[in-house]
Amino acid sequence: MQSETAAHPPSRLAGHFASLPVQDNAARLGMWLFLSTEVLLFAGLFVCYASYRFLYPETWAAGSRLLSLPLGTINTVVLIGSSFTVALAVDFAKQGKNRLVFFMLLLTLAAAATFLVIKGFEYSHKFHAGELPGVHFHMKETEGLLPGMPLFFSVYFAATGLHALHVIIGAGVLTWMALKAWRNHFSVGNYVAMENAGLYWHLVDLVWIFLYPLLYLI
Amino acid sequence: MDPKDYKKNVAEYADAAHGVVHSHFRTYLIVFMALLLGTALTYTTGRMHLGNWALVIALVIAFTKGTLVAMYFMHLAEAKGTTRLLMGICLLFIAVLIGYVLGDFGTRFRPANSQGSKWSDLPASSTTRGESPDMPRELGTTP
Amino acid sequence: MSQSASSNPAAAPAEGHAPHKSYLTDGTTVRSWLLSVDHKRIAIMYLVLILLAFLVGGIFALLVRIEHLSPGPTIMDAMTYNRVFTLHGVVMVFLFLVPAVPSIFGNFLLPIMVGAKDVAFPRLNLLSLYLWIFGAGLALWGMINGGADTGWTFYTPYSTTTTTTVAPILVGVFILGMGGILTGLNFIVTVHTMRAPGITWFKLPLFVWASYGTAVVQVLATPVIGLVVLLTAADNTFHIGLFDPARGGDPVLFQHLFWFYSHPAVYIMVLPAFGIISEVVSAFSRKNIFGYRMIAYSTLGIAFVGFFVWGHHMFVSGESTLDAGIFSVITMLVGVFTAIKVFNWVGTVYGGAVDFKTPFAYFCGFLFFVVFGGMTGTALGVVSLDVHWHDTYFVVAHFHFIMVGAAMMAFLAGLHYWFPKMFGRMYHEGWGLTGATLITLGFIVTFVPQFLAGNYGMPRRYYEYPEQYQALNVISTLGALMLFTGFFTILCYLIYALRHGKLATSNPWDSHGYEWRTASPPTTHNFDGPQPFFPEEPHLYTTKPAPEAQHAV
Ligand SMILES: [Cu+2]
Repeated sequence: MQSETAAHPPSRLAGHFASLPVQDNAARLGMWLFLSTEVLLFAGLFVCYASYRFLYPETWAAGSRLLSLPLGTINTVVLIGSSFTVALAVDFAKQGKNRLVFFMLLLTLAAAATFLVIKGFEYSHKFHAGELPGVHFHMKETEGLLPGMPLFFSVYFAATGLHALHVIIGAGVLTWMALKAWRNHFSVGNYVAMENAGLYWHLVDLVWIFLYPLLYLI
Repeated sequence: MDPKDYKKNVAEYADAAHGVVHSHFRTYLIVFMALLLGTALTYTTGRMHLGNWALVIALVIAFTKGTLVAMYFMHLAEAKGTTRLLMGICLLFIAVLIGYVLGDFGTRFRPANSQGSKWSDLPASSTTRGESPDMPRELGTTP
Repeated sequence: MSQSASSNPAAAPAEGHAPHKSYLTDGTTVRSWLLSVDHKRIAIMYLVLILLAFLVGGIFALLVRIEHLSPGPTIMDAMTYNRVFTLHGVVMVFLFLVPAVPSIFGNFLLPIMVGAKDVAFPRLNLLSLYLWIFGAGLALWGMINGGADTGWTFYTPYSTTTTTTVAPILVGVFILGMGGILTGLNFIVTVHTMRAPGITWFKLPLFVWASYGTAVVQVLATPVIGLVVLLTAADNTFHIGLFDPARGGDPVLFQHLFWFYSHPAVYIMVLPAFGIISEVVSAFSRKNIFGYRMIAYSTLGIAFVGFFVWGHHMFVSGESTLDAGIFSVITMLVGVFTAIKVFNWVGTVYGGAVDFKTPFAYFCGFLFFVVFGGMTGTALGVVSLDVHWHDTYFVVAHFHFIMVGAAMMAFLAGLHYWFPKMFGRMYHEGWGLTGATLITLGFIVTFVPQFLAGNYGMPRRYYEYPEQYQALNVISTLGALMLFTGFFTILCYLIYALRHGKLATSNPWDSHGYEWRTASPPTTHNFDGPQPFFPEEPHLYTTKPAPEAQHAV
């Protein structure tokens, strides 16, 4: 898939596919299958969350109050905004407007960076307060200590850590797409790579949409 | 592949060749606003001390937001049946997994549940509360 | 491999004039193999690697059996024994059984069977091979440097506190899982988008149906264990304690998540085996497959129901009796779907003109083992019986009947059936039947005594045992040696056949399977010229007489 072939869609057809629509459909279906594995990967963490919330409801309520709600909310807005810009980037790629794709991806990457920086602040605060998973858990005040509290932070760090990893990977993919847009790669009929990258980023957003209320609010 | 999809795709490509591509900008903007509204809503209700309802409301809002993202940003609304079936099965599996596991905790022999939890009658041990982080890990270790 | 291939002039198939080279001779450098995106070359590389893994796992199995020759210590100390049986389980499950049939035969045959030139994403396919190599390397490295002693199930809290090296093996399992997911994803997309004109869903060969069902399970189940092994590795290394009872965690939650994958994983192992058997039984009975649709539907049925029965592994782990009851009942459904298949295979053989070749010999063994293993499985799925049999050799014998008796026998059936397809050479039929006899008898002698020992109460994974079980253990070990002899025989004559075997015609079995419509071995792009058209159903040997068809309508 070189950029110079973009103007002639038939030439990016791989030899083993019947036609370009079939090839693009295969790419889409493949991406959705991959997304389903991501959903089920996070599902395991949501099961851990549900289990321990079920066993320790008071601890979970107390634990969510130990997290920084303003930072979490800002991050939610940032991610939703980035999802919006990515959706627009896909839309512009469909129309072959590479400049706008590039600009939208730049905004998205800025949002991703903001998200990670804020997350970093949150983490460093947790490290100082000793609100850490498992054996590393040692809170200074005694008032917040409830049974199962180390578990809350195990789930918190596992879930947000895995999510942050996905943000980093997604940002990497989007950077690659931005480079493609910079080289005028996308054109009418040749945008499935951007579409799939967009799907991945939306999934990252989707996971956070569930993590935010579950961890920070209730 | 389904001949129907094939036709739809070919039509789309023919459209694309003539430069007839519809912009989704307006839809995306509306969805974006709705998502921000949902965030504001979940923020306010989350702070209102609604007890058990807080979880229900938060989940309903999260599901609504998630559906909006999936349906419009990710175009699941116009996707093939296979894709939607796939996502449906994923949700089913998550529900079954959570259902079985919580059902297990809720109905098992109570002393088999974690000490200090709501579903156990035994008091929490000190480490469960996280009071003595320096407890040697080697207690359960084999030589 | 490439050497034997380069000396192979079978590139020109029986049809004559083939300007295209066979995939084996199209490029003979090492590089042309290692960087090949041809699904057939990838399959052959998998074949070599996975058989090596099987050898490693087999040696560990033999060591375990030899250790049990006497009730006390025989050749190793207790800690070594723990490591050896763990390594046997990990290697056999994650390096051999799970990837074997999909990665080898699925990769080789699925694109040919749907009339495609390659899988949908050839480079992802190559990546999955390298993920396998990397994951296997990491796991083996961990096994050599310390080695786990947890059993292949990695139950917490033991796996998070043991001093042996569990973490690299767990990460290796995660990487292997990623490779498996990519293979499965590739198969699903291939079947959806790349079927040749004329191949509708219900004209897919049954091996494709089986591979498709397997791929779905692989894609949907593997992520969950991926997460669990990562959490357990993190717990083992950083003590995050998510399943640690000392921190309020619940080890049974680990088991829930673990078995959510690992029960469906049984179907990742046996569903493709069922697919092979469906192909073999039809080809060597020279008869249309009986109940094509029912076999296809039951494949999906097993794949789906397999996701709702995982709790039958936890009846004595403190799981609630309500959950146990529900899981127990749903487990019986798996038996129904499997029985549908068994009846259909038997129905296919009935009245057929059986050509008793090596693959059919394996089918005969398979049929017996899958029925026996399946029925003991449903028995184990009953809560009250499981309480007695749980963690005894009865369970060990049961799942070896399914894993070795069903999956391994079918693997060998497929290997013999498709050997001419893959390499363009024939093996010696007499040796083939000898090998099949040795394997079948060796298997019976190894595992039937284990059923008895388990029923008398001998627990699994114990280093020592009371003297009363010695006779049964000695018989079992002798059977294992017989199995080993059988595998060694097969290895010898197959390697001999690679170089010196008779040249195969493009369809030596006169099979009507789609895959036999190309040359043996196939050319690089499977078919010369445009995508082929398949007017007939698969497994069509006799056209149905008209009156019967009318009656059916
Ligand atoms: Cu099971």
